[in-house]
Amino acid sequence: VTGHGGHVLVVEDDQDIREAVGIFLGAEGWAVTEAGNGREALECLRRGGPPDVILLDLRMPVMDGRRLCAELARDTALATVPVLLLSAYEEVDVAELEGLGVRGYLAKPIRFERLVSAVAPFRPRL
Amino acid sequence: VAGEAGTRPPTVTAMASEPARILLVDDEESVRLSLGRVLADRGYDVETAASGQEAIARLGRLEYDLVLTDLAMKNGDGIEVLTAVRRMHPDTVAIMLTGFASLDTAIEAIRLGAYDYLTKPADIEDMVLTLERGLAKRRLAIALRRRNEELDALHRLAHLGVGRLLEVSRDLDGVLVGIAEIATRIFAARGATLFVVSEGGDHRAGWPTDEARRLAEDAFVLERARAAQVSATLAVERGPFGTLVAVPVTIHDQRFGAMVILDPAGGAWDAERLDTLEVIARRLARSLDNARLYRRLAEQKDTLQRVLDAAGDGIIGLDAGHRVVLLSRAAARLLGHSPVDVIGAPIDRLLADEVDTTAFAGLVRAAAASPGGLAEGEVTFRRGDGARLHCDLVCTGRPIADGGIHLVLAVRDATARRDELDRRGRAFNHLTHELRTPLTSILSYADLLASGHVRVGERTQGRSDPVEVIRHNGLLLQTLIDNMLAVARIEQGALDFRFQEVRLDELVRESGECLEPLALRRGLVFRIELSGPSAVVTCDRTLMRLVVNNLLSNAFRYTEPGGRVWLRLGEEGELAMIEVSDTGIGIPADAQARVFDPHFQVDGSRGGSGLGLAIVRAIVQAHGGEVELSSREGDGTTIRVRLPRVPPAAPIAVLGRKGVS
Repeated sequence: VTGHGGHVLVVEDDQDIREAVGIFLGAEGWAVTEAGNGREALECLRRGGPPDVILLDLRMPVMDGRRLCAELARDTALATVPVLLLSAYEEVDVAELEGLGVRGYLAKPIRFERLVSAVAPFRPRL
Repeated sequence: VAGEAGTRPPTVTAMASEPARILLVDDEESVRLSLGRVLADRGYDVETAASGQEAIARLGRLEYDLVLTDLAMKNGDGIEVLTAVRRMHPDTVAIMLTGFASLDTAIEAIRLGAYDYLTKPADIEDMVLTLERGLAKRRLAIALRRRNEELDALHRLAHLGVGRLLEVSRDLDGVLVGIAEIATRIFAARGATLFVVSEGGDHRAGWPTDEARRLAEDAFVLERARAAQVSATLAVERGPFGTLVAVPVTIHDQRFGAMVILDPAGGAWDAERLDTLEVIARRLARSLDNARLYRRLAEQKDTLQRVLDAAGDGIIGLDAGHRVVLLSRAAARLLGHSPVDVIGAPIDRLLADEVDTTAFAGLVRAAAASPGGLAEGEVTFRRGDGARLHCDLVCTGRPIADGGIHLVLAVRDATARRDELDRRGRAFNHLTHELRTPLTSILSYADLLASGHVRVGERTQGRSDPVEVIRHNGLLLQTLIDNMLAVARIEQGALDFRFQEVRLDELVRESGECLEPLALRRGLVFRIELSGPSAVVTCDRTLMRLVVNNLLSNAFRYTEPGGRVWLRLGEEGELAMIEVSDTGIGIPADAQARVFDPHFQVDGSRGGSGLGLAIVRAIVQAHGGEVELSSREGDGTTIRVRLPRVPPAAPIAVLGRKGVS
């Protein structure tokens, strides 16, 4: 984990999408950690501590995004970490967003200018 | 006491077959004796009473044809006898005997209903004439009243009897016999018989003679009843009988047949009797017409009920107040109610909630307003067991039949359709997701390339070459789209096969090499093993490539990084064999039977359409081949395809287990 512009955890099972987000946010000055599913994400969080923001896919093998949200809510150290969903719009409804405790979502395919403005509020102030 | 037949004047015997019964009331014994003898000599059957009280007592025991009573008696008034007669036997003729002194009282008696009065001492011939006039009046009154009664009976039969009688007895002959009996009584005839042609052309009649039959048949074709009258005495085998009168039974140009009366008297019929016969014939025709309509209605009702019971949809008939008046068997089954419990109940009571009653009312309005008079919608019913049942409903908007049915509803359980919609919706969502994921990668890398964050051919920090990423995701999209098209065509029965001779080794190699990047990106060891002589198979090249692509895609998807995948080509006797095996996660035993079902996935989170193996089997079986699966959970999977060298002449591709014998 490098960089000084904030720390983002990208949880996404599709390698190409995960890498693309990682490359882009890295270029924007974010320190990026990547996880291929919910369980890997939990391991990263427990090893490396809470990031400034989590970008989370919903549909993943082993542990999906909904399950990870529940795990985060149970862990007092992680419950306050802001989560943004990376998701196709038909996969979530507004009511569910509130239930999951997430701050918002980004529709796939991802538009990078939207991604920048979505994570910007969570960048720590220097 | 009957008089002796030989002394009776002919006027009496001509009018009646039995002597008239007369009660003579007078307190003077001499009058009783003298008058009694005179009347007895004239052939009357005479009884006497000495007082008003005695007379009234006798009236209580017997009905007399005529009462001849003194007006002024010592023990009781003649007026009392008169009122008793009027009260007890209205048809009995009362004639008063009076002196000149009590003429006023006699006139008062006539006002009270006496037929006439005779002054004492009475002239015998004058008295007999008066008595005969009274008796004749009585006979006419009785005949008139009986005829009226019988016409009433016929009328009742016509208007409410016959149809229902037929419904109950299904016995037209029985009804006809009943009517014939009434007609016979009216005309005091020896017999009446009815000739009726049913709609099937059958003759329903019991004929006394061939002549009667012929006469009836003549009458049937004659326009007017009177023309059918025959006054001759016809000779028959069993001997002569009287006048035979036939009248057609006709209504609204509808000819039912003829009625024939046998009159033993043998004379010509007067206009009055013929009119009566015509009235009866008309009423009979109306009865038969009613009966025919009633029967037809009953038959239609039977047919309707059978059709309704045979229909798959439940049918509910409602009256104008939206109460259930008809419930088909399917509707009863669907709603879990017995018809007995529901008939007469408002439809609202069968609906689940207020929402549904509102929806139903809207549906009825919509149907009434629609040009076709129909509206379709959905409502939820509350079943007899309390469960809710969601149904599709078609409703008629205007009365379609008399007989109380105002609206008709066709009801169908919507659960299966909804489940199918849900399943299709889920499958559609899944496919959308599967399309969007590679598309997201392609668009993201296009942006990264455009922005200069990555460069063609660059593999920084162990990341993939952007071009490989785009090609890889393009391949995924292509397989997906090929599969979706194949499934759509197979489901429509529109998959066409372009058979040609194909070298399988070339086809398998091309397919394997094309998909190899997928294996490499997942970190798999992928081997293509082509052994033995190259098989030439007649097949559809595009479809067979789709088979191999799908087998490989699945193997790559379900094998973890570091695992191995083999693509082999071989021969088993006359059959060519393509085999793909992997060291992947394998398929649980309980899921192995389902992996060939469309949309089934062992692990939905691994991506893929869930269509691949269903398509593989559909295409292989259409080529006359077979697919064999062997797998153990955790150890890996082998799928073997066997193909004949020449496919069947008329291939049919079927998805799912339907294709398995």
